Amino acid sequence: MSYLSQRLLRYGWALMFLWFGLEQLINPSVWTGYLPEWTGYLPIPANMLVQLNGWMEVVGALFLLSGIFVKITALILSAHLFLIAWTAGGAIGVRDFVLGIMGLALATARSDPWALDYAAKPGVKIQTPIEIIKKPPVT
Amino acid sequence: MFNRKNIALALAVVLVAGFAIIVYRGRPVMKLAADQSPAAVSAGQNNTPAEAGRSASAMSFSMAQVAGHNQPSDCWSAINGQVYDLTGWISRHPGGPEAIIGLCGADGSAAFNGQHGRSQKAQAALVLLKIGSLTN
Repeated sequence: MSYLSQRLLRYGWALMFLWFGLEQLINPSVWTGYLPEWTGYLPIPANMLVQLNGWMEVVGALFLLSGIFVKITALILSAHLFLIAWTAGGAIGVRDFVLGIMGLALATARSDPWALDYAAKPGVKIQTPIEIIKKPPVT
Repeated sequence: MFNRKNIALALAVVLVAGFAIIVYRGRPVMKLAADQSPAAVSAGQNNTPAEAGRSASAMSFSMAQVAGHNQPSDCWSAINGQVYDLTGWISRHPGGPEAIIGLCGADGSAAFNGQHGRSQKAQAALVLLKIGSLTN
């Protein structure tokens, strides 16, 4: 059985969070308009809040790219997207809701051999990418 | 050494370190207090040469002078008879920059009192931004 779908989902989702996270770190003022109103009552400036959120997304993307604790990371980031979808509403809300569903799919999928989670399974030997290309793992 | 748990721990440390760096770099009111000290204001580029050298409490501005500072990069506003330099506050305003940009070069008394009239925290933050008083 091919692990292509899991890899596409994991890497694609990770790249998405990496890009949006870096954008929020570099240009926070562009994203402050998306903050919900209740954040105005927090003793945290808008730009700082956006940068903190962006950093969280970048580190989440690093967890996904390295394939470490993918299920937990995917669940947390999905919840994050569902919250954004609920507060933003409209077309953005629909888009982020669907992205959150994709995160749930990732959280419930089996880990692929390129993920460190897969190597952590008992009895599994780590294969380098070259070994995988030469001899794909038997499922 | 490079097992899953160690890498996860390293990433968690990176996450916390990143949060600390972001908070330290953007620390709001304390940094604002240092930026808005009378010495810093008189040496600041927002002041005209005629205004430089005088303490913030002694400086007076007309509404025409305030209106000349109406850009986000150079933002003054008159609030309740006093003049404030809001340039550094635009990106730090908890409610977003748009609310402050709308006050640049204008009298922001109604907007400020309507939103923050009873907020001691907002009043305290505003005091740090004062650069003078408004003359008729």
